[in-house]
Amino acid sequence: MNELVLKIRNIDVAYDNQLVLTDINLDIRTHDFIALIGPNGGGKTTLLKVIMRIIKPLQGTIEHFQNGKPIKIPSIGYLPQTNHFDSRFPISVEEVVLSGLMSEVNIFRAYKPKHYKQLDETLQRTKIESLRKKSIGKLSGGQMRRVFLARAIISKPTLLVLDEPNTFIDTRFENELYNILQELNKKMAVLIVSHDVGTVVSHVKSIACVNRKLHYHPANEVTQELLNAYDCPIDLITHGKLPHRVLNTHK
Amino acid sequence: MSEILQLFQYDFFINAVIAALLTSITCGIIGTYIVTRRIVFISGGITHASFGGIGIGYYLGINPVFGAAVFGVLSALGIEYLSKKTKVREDSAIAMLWSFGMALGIIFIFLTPGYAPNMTTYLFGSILTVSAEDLWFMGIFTVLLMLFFALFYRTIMLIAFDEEYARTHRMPVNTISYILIAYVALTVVVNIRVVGIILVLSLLTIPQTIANLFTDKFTKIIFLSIAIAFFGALTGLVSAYLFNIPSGASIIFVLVLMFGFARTIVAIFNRNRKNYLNKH
Repeated sequence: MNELVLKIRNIDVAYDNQLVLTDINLDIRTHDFIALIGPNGGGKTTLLKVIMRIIKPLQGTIEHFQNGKPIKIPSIGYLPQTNHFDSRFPISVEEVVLSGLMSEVNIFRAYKPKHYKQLDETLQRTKIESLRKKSIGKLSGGQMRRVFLARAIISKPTLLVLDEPNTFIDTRFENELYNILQELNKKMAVLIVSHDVGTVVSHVKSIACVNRKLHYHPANEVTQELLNAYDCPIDLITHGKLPHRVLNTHK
Repeated sequence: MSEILQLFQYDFFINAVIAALLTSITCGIIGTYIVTRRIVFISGGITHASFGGIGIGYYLGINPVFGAAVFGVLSALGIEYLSKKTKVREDSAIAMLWSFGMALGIIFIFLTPGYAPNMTTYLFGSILTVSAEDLWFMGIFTVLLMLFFALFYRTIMLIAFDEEYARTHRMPVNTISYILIAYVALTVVVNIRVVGIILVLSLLTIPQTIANLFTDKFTKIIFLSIAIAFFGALTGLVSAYLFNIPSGASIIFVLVLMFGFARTIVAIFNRNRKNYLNKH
């Protein structure tokens, strides 16, 4: 059951002749719940773009799989950081969530009854049914995050990618978010990008640390010393209970 | 009143009303796109750059509107390309093209031998002298524009809303953006005849701003802007006749008055609603 959904081998990425990522290897399986951590400018977002096939790597291979078979167009749900769009844009919650099905409908974007069924389910799951007709300009920050989470999961992707989901959300929604993610993780792989290691660590199953290179830790055990020692200069800040686990050293 | 009705006996006035309708439709659609995508400044650049095309048209002895169309589309595609692919700051690139187009226009008109054409037609428009040929040109363009938006409205809206996300879904973001910016240029050029280079930008933004006070749905803003623009154009046209003032300017004047009026109504309505909510 725990099938491979993504296979990355020896990938190098460069911007303007500067190597941003080098020799990246990563396997992601259906039941994986991975935190992608690393300093700002370390290449987290670049790696995401490679995974979503927006950026072509300089060399190396990347393969997506669905039901064990390699597929050309990856089925990925994507929750971007909030600052990419105009919050005053005249568009309703419904339209935004439906746009998660963009690549499934034809170029004229006519949605079919089954898509509206998926919409109802997704709105229910993310608890935003009452907002469906509202314009996004009228939502609070937390509600907005739910809308974008709904957009990311409506297509039932094999891999869900969340870019810094912790920004702009309240603690109540944060707990709820992780509950939803754990539920989703039964059917899809989840990859969370975060520079705030503390809160993420206690929820995920494994950690990948990106700073030009990628170090993968199969267990979610991490300490400040270890991060410093292995080119991951990020701060380990937590509120409340601190994770007390230690990762194995890199080979 | 009978004085106004009498106006409809004249062909030139009927032509002007048809032109006003076509202008409202094209500006209503394209204006909603540029306002929501926040590319009003880009559109301003294209508008003024197209003056260069008018000058070249005169110099070469071809139809100046045709010159403006070619020049406008090329500069639109140029701005889109410069801002995406190179490291030139987008607003600086636009400002450069903006004044370059105007300069080029002035130089070529100056170099054109013989009678100097009346520039005010192009700067301020003259809806009352629109010919039947102009109307055919405008009509065909309006149909093409409506067709494009009717077919691809969702794609257009979703790309305008969140380009980055559309890219992750392999939407033809670049192709659609280039086509749309070309449509913006052509809309501007088609309407230069009616309201002029200096005033066309307000026809692309004021109706949308008014519509946005009452609705925040993309399609509703389009339809409401068309209605508002048409009402403003008709009222402006009639007042231009009654008070003997230039029509382009009076249309814009009416639109700004409408905005002030609408804003006041919305403010009063909101206050009443607040009072009502506070009491209950």
